[in-house]
Order: sequence, then C-alpha cells, then structure tokens
Amino acid sequence: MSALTNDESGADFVQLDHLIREFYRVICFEEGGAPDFEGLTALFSQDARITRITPEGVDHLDVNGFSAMVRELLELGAFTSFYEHELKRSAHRYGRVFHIASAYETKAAPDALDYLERGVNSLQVLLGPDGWRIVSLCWDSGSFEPDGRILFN
Amino acid sequence: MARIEHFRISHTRAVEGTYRHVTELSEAGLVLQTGSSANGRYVGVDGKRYLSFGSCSYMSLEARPELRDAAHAAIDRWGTQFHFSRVYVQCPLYEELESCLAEMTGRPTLVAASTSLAHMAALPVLIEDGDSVVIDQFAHASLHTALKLVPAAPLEIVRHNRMDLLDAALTRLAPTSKQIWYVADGLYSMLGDFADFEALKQLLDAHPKLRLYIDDAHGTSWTGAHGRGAALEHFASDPRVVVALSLNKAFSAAGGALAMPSETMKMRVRRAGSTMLFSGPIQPPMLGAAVGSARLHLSEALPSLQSELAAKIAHAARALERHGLVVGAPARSPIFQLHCDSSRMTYAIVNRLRDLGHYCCAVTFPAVPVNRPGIRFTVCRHNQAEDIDSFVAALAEARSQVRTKLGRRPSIDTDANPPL
Repeated sequence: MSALTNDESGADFVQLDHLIREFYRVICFEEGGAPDFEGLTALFSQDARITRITPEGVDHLDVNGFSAMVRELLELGAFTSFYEHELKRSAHRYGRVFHIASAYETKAAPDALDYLERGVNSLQVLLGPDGWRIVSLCWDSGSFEPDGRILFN
Repeated sequence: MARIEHFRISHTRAVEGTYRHVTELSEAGLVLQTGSSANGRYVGVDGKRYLSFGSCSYMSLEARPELRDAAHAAIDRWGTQFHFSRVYVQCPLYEELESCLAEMTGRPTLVAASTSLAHMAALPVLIEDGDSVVIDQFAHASLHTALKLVPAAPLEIVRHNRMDLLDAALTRLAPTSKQIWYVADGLYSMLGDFADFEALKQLLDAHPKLRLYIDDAHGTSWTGAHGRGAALEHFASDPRVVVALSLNKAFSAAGGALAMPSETMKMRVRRAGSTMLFSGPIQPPMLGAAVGSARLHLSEALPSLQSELAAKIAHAARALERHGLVVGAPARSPIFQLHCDSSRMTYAIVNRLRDLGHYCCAVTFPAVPVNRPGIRFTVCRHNQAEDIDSFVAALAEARSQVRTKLGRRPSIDTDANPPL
C-alpha cells in the first residue's frame, strides 16, 4: 500500500484518476447502446450506496438498483445515448478515504455546443483489499447548476 | 442494504416529472397557449399571427365545403347531440361512416370516439389469456396507456424500430405464448419516421404467432389508396394485422377507427370493448363532417390532394437540404424534426422563429428522449411553397444565431448558465 498522503502526484491519486475516468467511460454509451454495466459494478464496492436526487424525489439505491433504474429508463426511451464527461475535480484524501467532487456535463452528442445538464458527482472512494472502490455516489440532477468559481476556487 | 433487482419509477414521481417539464415549457411560452385565429396557412396565438408549421391537418380539409356542408346538414337533421348511449341506440350517421370507411380501408371498420379510446377498447379484447405483448418504446403514449388495461399479459418494450430485437423477443416468447402482439405506430408522430413495414412482413412470415396492432393515426388520409394510410397499404389483406386510424388530424373530423381483419373481430370489440360500451359517442356535427371527409376520400379528388401535399413535402426536403439542415428521419412524411443540443437551445430557436413570424413546436422530454430535444414542424397542404422557403430560411437563421451565441458562452469556470 502506498503512503497515506495527500500528494496529488502520488500513486493513489493516479489510481483515483484512473477510477474516475473509468467511471465516466462505463456510464457513457452511443446511440442505441447501453452503459457497461459489468464495468460499472466493478468500480463500486458491493456495499456501495448510490443516491440520485431529482426535483421529484430521492432514490437510495445499491449498484444493482441503479443498474435496474438505468435499464428501465432505457427501456422507456428516456435516453437513447449518454455522453457525460468530467469538467473539474477536487479530491481530498483522509486516510483510506477520498472525498471527490467531480463536476460533470451531460451532452446530447460529444460535439454538441450546449449541454443537457451540469452537476457535481459527489463520491467517496475507499481503499480496500482490491484497491480503490466507490462506496458512495450522490448527485443532484436537474435542480442545481454548479458554478466553478464557487465550487473549486 | 437490500438488493434491488427490479426498479420501478413511481407513478407519482412520473406525474411530478411530467408536470415539471410541461410547466417549464409553459413558462417559456411554448405550450398550453390559446389560438386567436387559425385559417390553415396562418395561426394566431396570443394575438400575434404566424405562418403555421405546427398543424396536424396535413391534408388541410377542415374548411372544405364537403366537410362543412355535411356537418351543417347533420346539425340540421340531428341537432348538436344524439342523446342516447351508443350501446342502446346510435346515430345513423355511424352506419354511414363505417360503411364509407370500410370502402376506404377494404376492411370491416369500427368507429370510436377517438383513436386513444379505440386502443382502449380494442387491445384488452384482442389480447387474450396466454398472449404476450411487445411494444416499440416510441409507440404513441395512448398505446402504452391502453396496454395498462391488460396487466396480466407479459409485456416487453423494444427499442425503436429495432427489428432484430423484435425478432429475438418473438423467438424468446413463442414457446410460452399463444399469440404475440407487436404494438407500434405506422408513422411516428415525433420523428416522422415509419414502422419498418417490409421487415414486419418478413417477421409475420417467420413467426406464425405474431399479430400486429398498428396505430396509423398520423398516416391516415394523406397517404395510401383512399387515404387508408401507410400500414394498410402493406397489410390490408393480412388477417393478423389490426390498424387504428384517426378521423382527426389529416382527416379533419373527429374520432378514431379500427380497420379489422374480420367482421367477427369488429363485433367482438364493439360488444366487449370497454370504451365502446361506456364512453360517449361522437356527436352528429362531427359525425357529419367525418362522413363528408370519408366521401371526399372515396372521390376522384383525393389523389390530386395527396399529390399536392407530397409535392410540398418534397419542396420542404429540398429547402432543408439547400440550407444544410439535417432532420431526424428521411423526409417522406409531413412530420419533420430538427434535433437540438439542449432544451435551452430548442426554446431559443423556437422563440426566435416566432419573432420572425413562424409557428412550430418545441419537443422535449417526455415527448422525446432527454437526449433528443428538437424542433418539430409539419408541412400541410395549406402551406404555400414561398411559406416553406421562408420558414426553412428562418429556421436556418435562428439556429445559426442561437448556436453562435452558445459558442460565445463562458465556460464553467466563469459562469454557470447565462441566459441565451
């Protein structure tokens, strides 16, 4: 295990960076496709909690429940493709826990001029026997627009 | 924490979500408005007159004497209401209308008070114990609603027009199903694309248990022999296909109709369909208009009216191409949709078009997927060639202006979401 430091050039920050990049990769899919559900599951602790906040209410889910929700949204045609990428990130390490605020942007297409939604994925990542795994993902969808100056400066 | 294998979006949350989205559109001044005039070519909304590109009256028949005179004659003969439940006594105009529609479609045809009510009458009667149902995800909302009246039937939703996925579902469901109903639109009302009729024909050949229920409300009148629609052009003689038509929209009257493969099936829905028994009838003025419209559809005048519209659709397609605007589906129907990057962009373009004197519709979730907001416009026989040219030029200009403005927008570092 690497030293428990807050050094952003350290190996753990590199692994974390890989995990976050992988997170955005697995949730995205092209027209007619679907997220990489297997890849998604692999990024999360089996005890992870996913909390989705919308103007209509809050969903408290595990990874299976989240996958089931996404499958239902796909089935109902709520999304036919999904492109989300990270805009900015702040990561703070407290021992074996990372607290991450990852500002994201969802677009209708990678080259779209405007975005569908912006928000912040709030993640907690835990170092376990298999490496870093997400234990909590929480985001407020549809009722909150992040301002980079406030969030990260 | 308990594992969740089956997630279901709660009913109330779905209602709240729809309420929020429609409220947003309403506050943007794009829905729930009241017309102050409508003569076909123009529409007045809140006192301002626009060239209209949002109508469903594709054939523009609503002011024709054949329909108006028939409606007036029906009022003169029957008054404004035929005051009996249709179960007991129906207005004789129903018989006349169904007879004309049978000639139009080449099938026994049952008239309902609306296409939605036709689905609600027919689907629970047609789908029997032991049957399964597969529905296209973008099939009209009224079909999804009607299928909720048949909760015991296993239901699968397949992605839009994915015949490979339908084929797989049919193979999977066949061993456990008496019949498998595929429920779809003939012409999809948002994107303006057709069902894949040729592929469906092949699937009917390959899967003996397959039955089709097609809502061709948007295909009625403007296409097909006597205006019977695109679906019946392909399946009129197939006993495994039921087609629902609209007597509103291009037909310019009121009600819906079910073109049935047999008289027995027609009478079964007539006698057991809940909305045939327990809903109100179409009243005489609109029954008269429907009879007038049906007669017009059976007359020699129809093909030239259809050709006139086809020429306008082709004109619109050429204008779009000239301006480099790519619509969501090949321009073969009166319905066009131009995709936008976001709802914001959609609202801004539609509002700019209104400033330029053109009316069309913003379509956003839940009418279309979250990632497919856009501008829906229609071409009707009312639209003149110069109107179409003017509209498409305005659309190109508005889109370009809004995109330029967006391109100049600061990034997340400096501002969250300035107005367009």
